[in-house]
Amino acid sequence: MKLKYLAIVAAATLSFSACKDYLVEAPQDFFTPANFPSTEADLKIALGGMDDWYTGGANQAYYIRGWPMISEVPSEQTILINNTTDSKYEQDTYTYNSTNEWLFRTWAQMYGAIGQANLVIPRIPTMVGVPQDVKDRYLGAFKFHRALNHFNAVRVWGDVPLMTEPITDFATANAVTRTPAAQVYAAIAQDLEDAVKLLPAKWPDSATPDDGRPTRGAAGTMLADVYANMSGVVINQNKWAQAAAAAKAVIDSKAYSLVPDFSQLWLVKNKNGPEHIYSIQFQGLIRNLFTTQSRPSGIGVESGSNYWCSTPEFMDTFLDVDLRKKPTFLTQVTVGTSTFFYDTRGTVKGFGDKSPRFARPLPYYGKFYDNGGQSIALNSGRSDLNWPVYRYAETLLLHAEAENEANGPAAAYASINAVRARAGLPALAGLTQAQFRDAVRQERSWELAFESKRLFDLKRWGLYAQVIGADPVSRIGWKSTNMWAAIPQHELDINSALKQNPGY
Amino acid sequence: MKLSKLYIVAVTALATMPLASQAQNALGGTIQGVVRSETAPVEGVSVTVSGTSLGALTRADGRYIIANVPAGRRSVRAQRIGFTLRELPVTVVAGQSGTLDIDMKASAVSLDQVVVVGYGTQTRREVSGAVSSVNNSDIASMPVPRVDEALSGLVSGVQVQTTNSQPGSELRIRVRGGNSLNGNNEPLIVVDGVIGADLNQINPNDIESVDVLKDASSTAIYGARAANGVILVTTKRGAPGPVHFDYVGYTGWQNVSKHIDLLTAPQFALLYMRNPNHDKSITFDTLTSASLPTTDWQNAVYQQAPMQNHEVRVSGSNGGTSVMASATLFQQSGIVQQSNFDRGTLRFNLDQNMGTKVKLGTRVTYSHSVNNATRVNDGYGTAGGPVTQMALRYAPTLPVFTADGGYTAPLLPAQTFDNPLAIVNLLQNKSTRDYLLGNLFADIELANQLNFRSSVSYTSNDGLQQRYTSALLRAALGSGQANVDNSTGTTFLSENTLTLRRSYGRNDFTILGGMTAQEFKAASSGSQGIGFTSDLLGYNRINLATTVTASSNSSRERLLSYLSRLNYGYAGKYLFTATIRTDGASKFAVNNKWAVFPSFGAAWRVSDEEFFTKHFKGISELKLRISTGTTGSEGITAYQSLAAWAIGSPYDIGLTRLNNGANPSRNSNPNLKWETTQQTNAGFDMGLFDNRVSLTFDTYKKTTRDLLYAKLVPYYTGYSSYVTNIGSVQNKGTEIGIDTRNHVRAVDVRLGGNISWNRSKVLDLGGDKEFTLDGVNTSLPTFRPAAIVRIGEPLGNYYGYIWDGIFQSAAEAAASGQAGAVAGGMKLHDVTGDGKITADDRVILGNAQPKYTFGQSGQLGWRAFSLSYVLRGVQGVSVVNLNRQGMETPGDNVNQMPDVLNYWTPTNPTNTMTGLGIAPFNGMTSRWVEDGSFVRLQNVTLGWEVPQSVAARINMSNLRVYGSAQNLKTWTNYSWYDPEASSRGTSDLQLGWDDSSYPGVRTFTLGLNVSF
Repeated sequence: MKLKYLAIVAAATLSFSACKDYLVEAPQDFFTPANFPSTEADLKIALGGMDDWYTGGANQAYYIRGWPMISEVPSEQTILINNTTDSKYEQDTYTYNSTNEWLFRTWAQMYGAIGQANLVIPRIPTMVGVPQDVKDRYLGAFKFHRALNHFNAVRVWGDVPLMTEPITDFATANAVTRTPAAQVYAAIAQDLEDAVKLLPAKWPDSATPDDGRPTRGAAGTMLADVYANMSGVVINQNKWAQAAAAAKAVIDSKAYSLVPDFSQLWLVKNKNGPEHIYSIQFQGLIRNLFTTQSRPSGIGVESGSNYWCSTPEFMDTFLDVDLRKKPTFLTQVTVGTSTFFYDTRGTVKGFGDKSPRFARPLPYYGKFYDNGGQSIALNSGRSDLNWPVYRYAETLLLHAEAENEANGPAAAYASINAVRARAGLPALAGLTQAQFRDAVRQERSWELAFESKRLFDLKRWGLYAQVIGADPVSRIGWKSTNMWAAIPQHELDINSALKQNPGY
Repeated sequence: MKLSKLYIVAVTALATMPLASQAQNALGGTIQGVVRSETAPVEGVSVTVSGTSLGALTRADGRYIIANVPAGRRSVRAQRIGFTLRELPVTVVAGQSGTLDIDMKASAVSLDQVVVVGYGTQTRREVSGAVSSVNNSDIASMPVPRVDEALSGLVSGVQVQTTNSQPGSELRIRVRGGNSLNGNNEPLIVVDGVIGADLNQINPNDIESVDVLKDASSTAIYGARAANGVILVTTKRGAPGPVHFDYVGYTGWQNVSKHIDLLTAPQFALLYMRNPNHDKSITFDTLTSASLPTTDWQNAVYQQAPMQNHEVRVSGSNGGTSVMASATLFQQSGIVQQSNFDRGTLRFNLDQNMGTKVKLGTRVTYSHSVNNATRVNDGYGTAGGPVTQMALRYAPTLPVFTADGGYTAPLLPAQTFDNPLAIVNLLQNKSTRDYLLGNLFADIELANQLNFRSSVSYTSNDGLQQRYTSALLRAALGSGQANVDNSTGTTFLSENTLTLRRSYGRNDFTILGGMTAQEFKAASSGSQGIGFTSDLLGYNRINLATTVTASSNSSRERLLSYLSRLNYGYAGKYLFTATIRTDGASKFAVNNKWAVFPSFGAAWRVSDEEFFTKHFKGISELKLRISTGTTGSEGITAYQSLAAWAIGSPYDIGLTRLNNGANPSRNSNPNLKWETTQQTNAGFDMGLFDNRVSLTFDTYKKTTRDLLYAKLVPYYTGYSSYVTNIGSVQNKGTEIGIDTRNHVRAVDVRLGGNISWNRSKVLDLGGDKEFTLDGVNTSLPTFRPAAIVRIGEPLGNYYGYIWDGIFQSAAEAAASGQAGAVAGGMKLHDVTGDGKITADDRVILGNAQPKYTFGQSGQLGWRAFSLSYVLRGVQGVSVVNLNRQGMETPGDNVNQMPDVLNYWTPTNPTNTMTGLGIAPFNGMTSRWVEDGSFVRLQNVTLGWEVPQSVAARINMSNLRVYGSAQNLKTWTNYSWYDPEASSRGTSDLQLGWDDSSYPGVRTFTLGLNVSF
């Protein structure tokens, strides 16, 4: 054998065996939990990523429309116009079962957000070289998000898995059971008590208190809301004093004020204004779909999906002098030179006469109509309007309600009357505690209409069965067990230790 | 980049130009003669002079001529597929011409045929594993862009399925069923030794043979990637004899194989108005609607589509050089307007002897392809719909264009539909691919029968995808949208093997040892522009968009392998093969990077035993085979064992939009490893009547463990799935292949057939009993979960409720315990009998995997005429026809199937159709499961060889014309276009869902082969 051939063989064979690290795998285009987040800039994009769970367009879920689909549509104040038996109809009429898409889509995104928070929360205290104030506000922000999502889940489903640790192995995680609602609430309250201390009133680089990032005011308002829910019939713990204190702290911070003209509050150009405490941000290509689906069709370039309406019965509860009535309900639209009416006035078809299953013409949502001057058709039927999670009017009403429940009406009038004054309604005075309770409940119904508040208010007030059970649309499929929505079948299929709510 | 590749090909071509002007050897003589079989001349026989590189191919008249043969005693070999090899002695005298006529015997199996077995070749006689071979001559006339498409129905144990008939689409190929849950069950493709080549980029007519390795004994030499079988493709080398030129061309027409009948406009309008819940913004006058003209949207977007292929080839050998070079242009338009696949390929294959000890060679191919795709299996829901869906559902009452020439809007403004013709014309999706596959190898004889072979290959695969969605389409979200995506992939493969052959008495040994290293690098970048002020420039100038975002990705994978094989034969009767391959892969977890894949096979040539030849005279050949071994499957992409934060989600801080949000996308799995498949095979090869009939039988059992699967996890974990090794799947099956050659008077008859049974069964799911699968790619999100993987059941099960007819009264509906039940609505079967319909009432409704498949082919030759056909059947399979789900709501605002005319009313108490305005149940039910069995006349070709005398007059040595029909006729009960369509891709778990698939295609071609 010739020596030179031997050399070729040897060289060819050995050239690769020599590299010891030949098979080592190093990430090229992603971070790992071992190296991320490590800096303030990392924290910023990790917090930014939370938005994707709320507004990520892939499944149109959560705040694009999944959340109101399971929290507003089932209420008696919103109804679906047509009666095609699809997943929307199921939510409206309580004919859904555990495979309803809006239940699992929204559930998945709530827990995605919780999972992301759980990855970051234990890591922040261990980060080196990041100033303490930066660590504090990000820690507060992630705790806020964890609380918000648990809070949303526990109000829809009742007992839900309480997730507070990063997932280490799926075998353990797959066997999780549902945590009693009271325990979930306790964890939510703890996260928010922490967040109130950790979060700034306003982020240092922000011009307005609300820029889509959680603040002390947002955490405080949600805390008041959480304590109010814990004090309701479901959990039945008396936390009214804590609720009042949490709301009072936000009021006393003087960071927020009511927008004088209620109708101006709902304009795209006034997003993140002085009254907004925490809003899910929509603009550009990430737009809100739910709010535009309460638009009539047949009105030219402003036509919408014609899905949601409110009811004439609800509109009738508004006093005519109430300055909120007109902005809350859409009863006429002028597009170009044509004016369309919600009832049969005029000759133009297509608005208000397409609800054969209802005796009276239906008003549409007025609150969410504005689209910043851009026609809805050009925005592909979607809206740049933010979704209001908390605004200052609710802080005031939470304070009024909690103060009244804890100590009687005396110190509660100022808060409710501020809201009423803006609506052009006379100030309240001289009510009993029970009268005040009724008044604040009525005020919430008017002020917060279509903002995904009503259903949960009814639940905590103990009026759920009475009101929803009497609603002609809900009654199509409603049973008292519908108080708690069906746990998504996907979860039960994988984890048999997870038990379904009764009635599904 | 593109130019440089062309340059490489051109330079290598030029370097061998001297070939055509070889120096004449004045001292030689000439051998010439005619090759015949039973008096008929045989064309295309390779006649070579042993010990030299001299040779020739016989022409149509069977004549050959070999000049410049060195004087002396020589041995001449004549061989061709379908005939027994002949070797004859001849004495050559310098300066003289001797005649040697050769008589050849047709046989269905040729024991001397070379079979490519992976890192080497064997003769058919020596093979101890289950290997099927297909030769170019069997498939040359089929008008297909990919060679594997032509294998359909020809090879036992191999299922080739066109799941999407859009030009340029991938095929689904299964060798002995699917092992893996994770989706990739495609066999390993090896082209001229290069692992992982892309058959979409290889001209099928450049291919000489395809060998399919099926059992573990033959596949295990490919170790960790061999569990799905191995398809070895060998391209043509320079033909023996002087250089000759060929032209091969065909031109053809494609048509939609079926038209779906729908409601006419008057019927549609009538039902719409009768539907009490119809949208009142649209009204038809029922008195005049009977005269409404009907728009057939299928006719509006489907067309008769041309296809053509032109190829020029140079092939020949001289001295120590042989060369084959070709240039091909393939063009196929789609039957949906504006879709097409065009491809140009160049190939250059060179073999060069450097003295007697060293052989060098190259296999180089370059291809450039352009694929324009229309929206199919995509754009469901609010994105405007696939064109194939809109062509059926768009209201028949609408004209195609409005009075001012625009595209007619959908019936209702709220409908998220696009005009089918607008989809075709306003949506561009163009993929351009540049593919270079170059292989350089050297074979060095180090000592007697000790060979070292070293091969280096490089694959470059560059893609450019350009998409534009006009603002007029729904998917553009009102603002016009462009995407430009670049991808580049390179593969470097180095293989070094030593082969030693030794014989001691009657003991023959062949020992192979080697090592290989492979590296894949991929990088891609994409930009997206949104908000185009004009459609005029499309994707060509993304800067026109108001918002442009960009992204990029990068990855690297490496493999390092050691392989060895021992072949031992005793007296040519007892054959043993043992292989071991050790593979290491970067993409598996730290703890499990390496795995060993051994195999063993034995064969006994019973027919070589004396006792056998004495007693079984009719049986000319009998070989019993048995083998067992393990192979692996990678099944996943790189980095799956590492936890990840993905970057790039959009978020707002106030009015500022940022696009670099981070989200956890994957949890870590430090134990991730290969899937392992253990396969045992037993079979026999039998030749009867002098090998005029050959029969092959195999039965096998494959068990795959440590399945790689993206296992679904509860959403409350914050993840939706994670990749892990769970459970085990078994495939059992039997294959029979038969081939016959015969003469009936002057007609040469070759008939073949094969039948394959395969059944998969899930054995273990890592502690779970079953799991369900979310549907992908569908307009119907409530159809999830609608597929289930369950222990004891095959893969590909449909899952849902049993349809039990129609509720005949409100009372019946109210008593049913079914949510949303109404009179005239769909009634579901209460399987559990608990008086209500719950998730527990779901059952398995059918399966997407056929019970058995078969193929039957024939070739008849009479004088200058030849007729061939391939018939193919798939039986015992069901398909979910989701198309009907959206088109069987009587009186709906989308077009409907004609059977809605028989809608339920209290006075028409049908149990087959819901009442007016009542949609089908909003979930998976047995109503949509249809029998997908079919028998298809896959190909028929009629050819005519123009007589030599005529051809010669126009300076041609050979001229053949033929007509061919592909997918001529399908016999099936399936009600939609094509039972093989699968809108959710090719995975074994999501197979068989037809949700607006691309229609099946029938093709007629006329072809011409010319040799100069």
